[in-house]
Amino acid sequence: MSLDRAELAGTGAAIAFHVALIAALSLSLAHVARAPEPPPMEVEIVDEVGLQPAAAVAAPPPPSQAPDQAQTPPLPQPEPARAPQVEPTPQPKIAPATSLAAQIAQLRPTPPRRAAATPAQPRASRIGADFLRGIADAPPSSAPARPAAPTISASAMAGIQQAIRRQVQPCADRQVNPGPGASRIKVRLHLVLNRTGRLTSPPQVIGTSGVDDDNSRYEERVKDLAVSIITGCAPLTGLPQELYQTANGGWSNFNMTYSLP
Amino acid sequence: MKQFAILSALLLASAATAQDAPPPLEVNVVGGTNAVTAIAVPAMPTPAPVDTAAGPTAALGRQVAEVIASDLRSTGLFTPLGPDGIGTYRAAEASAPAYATWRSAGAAQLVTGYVEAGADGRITVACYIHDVAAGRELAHQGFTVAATDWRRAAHKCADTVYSRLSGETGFLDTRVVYVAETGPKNNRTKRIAIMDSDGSNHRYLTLGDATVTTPRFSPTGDKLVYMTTAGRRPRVMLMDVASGTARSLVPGLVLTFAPRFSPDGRTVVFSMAKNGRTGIYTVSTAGGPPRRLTDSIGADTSPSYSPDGSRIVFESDRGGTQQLYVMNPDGSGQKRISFGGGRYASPMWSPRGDLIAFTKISGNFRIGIMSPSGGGEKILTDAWQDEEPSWAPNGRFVMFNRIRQGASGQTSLYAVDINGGNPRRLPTPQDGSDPSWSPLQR
Repeated sequence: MSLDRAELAGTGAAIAFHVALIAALSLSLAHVARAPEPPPMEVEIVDEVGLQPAAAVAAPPPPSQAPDQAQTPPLPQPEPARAPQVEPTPQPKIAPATSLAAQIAQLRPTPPRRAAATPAQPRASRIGADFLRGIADAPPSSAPARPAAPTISASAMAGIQQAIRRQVQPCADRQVNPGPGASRIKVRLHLVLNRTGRLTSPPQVIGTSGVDDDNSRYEERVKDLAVSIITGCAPLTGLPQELYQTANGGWSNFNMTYSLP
Repeated sequence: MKQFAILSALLLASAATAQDAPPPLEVNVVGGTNAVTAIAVPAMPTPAPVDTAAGPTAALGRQVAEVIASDLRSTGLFTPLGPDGIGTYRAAEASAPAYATWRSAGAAQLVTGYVEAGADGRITVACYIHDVAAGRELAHQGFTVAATDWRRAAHKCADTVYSRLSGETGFLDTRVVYVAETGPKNNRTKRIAIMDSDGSNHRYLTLGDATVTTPRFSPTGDKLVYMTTAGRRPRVMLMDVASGTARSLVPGLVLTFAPRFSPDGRTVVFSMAKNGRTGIYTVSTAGGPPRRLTDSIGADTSPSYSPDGSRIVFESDRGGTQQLYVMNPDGSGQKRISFGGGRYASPMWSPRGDLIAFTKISGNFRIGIMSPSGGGEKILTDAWQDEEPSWAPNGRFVMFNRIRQGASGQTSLYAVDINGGNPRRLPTPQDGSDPSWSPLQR
């Protein structure tokens, strides 16, 4: 079965069109996902728990809609309806402006104008007016905006890792080495916790390593020991509620790798 | 076009999901100890008290727990708590005990179960293993036996516990044959005796009218080969354990000794002295002429097959002193493997195939192990005279006999963990030597 010249040309064009379409859609999705991570929201979260912020953007409100909303809680409900009207107009203004930082500096002393200026309007257009309305509705008038997707810093992550390790270590120390070579085996468990630090489901063994002909007889036993450690020491307490689940991680679920000394 | 559309959809989906769930937090924990495990073994209850041929089921429940506790203690891995001085539970709780109670009793593991009599006079011993800290059952197994065989059910339960908690295969439901010795040092009466591995159910298989040595179990545990001096010359005998009947394996006026079965049980390898030379031979258990494997200028003896039957280790003084050699089962490829100081004797290949146990003679007699290639030599004991090692069927323990220094010449059976620890003495009614560990009973 062979294709004539016209069919080949048509097929080639179709393939090229689809490749272009996929690339466009992929780029678009990747771009949209970053939009709901406004750095200023992270500041509120990290300050509350006393851990190092994920991004050191403290005072100056970045050019995003979300912080504007957070700083202007009394925004009346009908007002967001104006947002779609504002959207198209700033775009041409922003383009010839000097720099983003300069715009922020200009806008800072005049919060009401910031809402109108909306330096990040191009990004806002993807989120849509409904997003603004939702944020305006959610927080009480005096409270800071609750972040939709807070993040956790590396140091906060390390603090949680240490807190978990500190709590399970006594249970680990009680496990008895079944025999020579067993200490080469590493067992990796996946654990899911609720907000009280209790396991919501039995620990799941997701892998072992270091198993060889000499110690394979101990593999099941070391799996037992790993499970016993976490079930014996749960619930885990004292973990920061604010970091239970964030956009880039948290302690709602974690992997524990166990080995004998 | 349809495939293309599916591919496009998959690409889009993967692009979307890749941005969702962040990677889980990773926590590494290292911890553990080489201490023994505290394991609670309370008396087993009975769902309905019944008198059996071995006594009331309630009494059997306590006795079963006592045997399990004793077996677990003998492994050196556990410190059993109970059955005395520890709490009890109801039969219905065997599968779901109150973990908090046992946790507060200091137990890390727990063995529960029950003893139930059937209408046919048999009993069922249910056996459950629990991880007390984790609050979960690890395994369970039931064993139905004649009421009078309750000890075997207890050994089976102990093997289940040991196997689940150590990762090793069981070895507690086994038997031991050995040479029971009575009388003065220079005029001993020697009889072959058989007993459970914990010393119970002891009985004699020979009368003591002739000296006997080196009894060895067949791979199925129902036959023995051994050497006797009955008839005023050493010869290898084949015995049926159940009936006690025995026959000479190599008829004729030849001296045969140091026998051991092949892994398939169809052949016996042994030493034979002929024309002033001592070589290694094989013979079929069904009869027939022996086949010579070695013919060196020295004395070759104590042969032992590897578990796959592909090699034989033996001792020989062909180089001037006793050393260990290995060869193919047809006698080819003979090669020395022991090069340490001193002499080496009575080798036995491990059931796992990874080690060879031996007696090392260098001043004192000690039990050691080495790899089949001769490397990794490790001495397990340190006494005046330890010799004749025999492996447990799981390849983790070695039994041997220890002769006390002095005029009494007292000899006893001991077992030692190849991973270390002090040898444990096995209870025997009289002195014992030349032990052989049976395979795990079915």
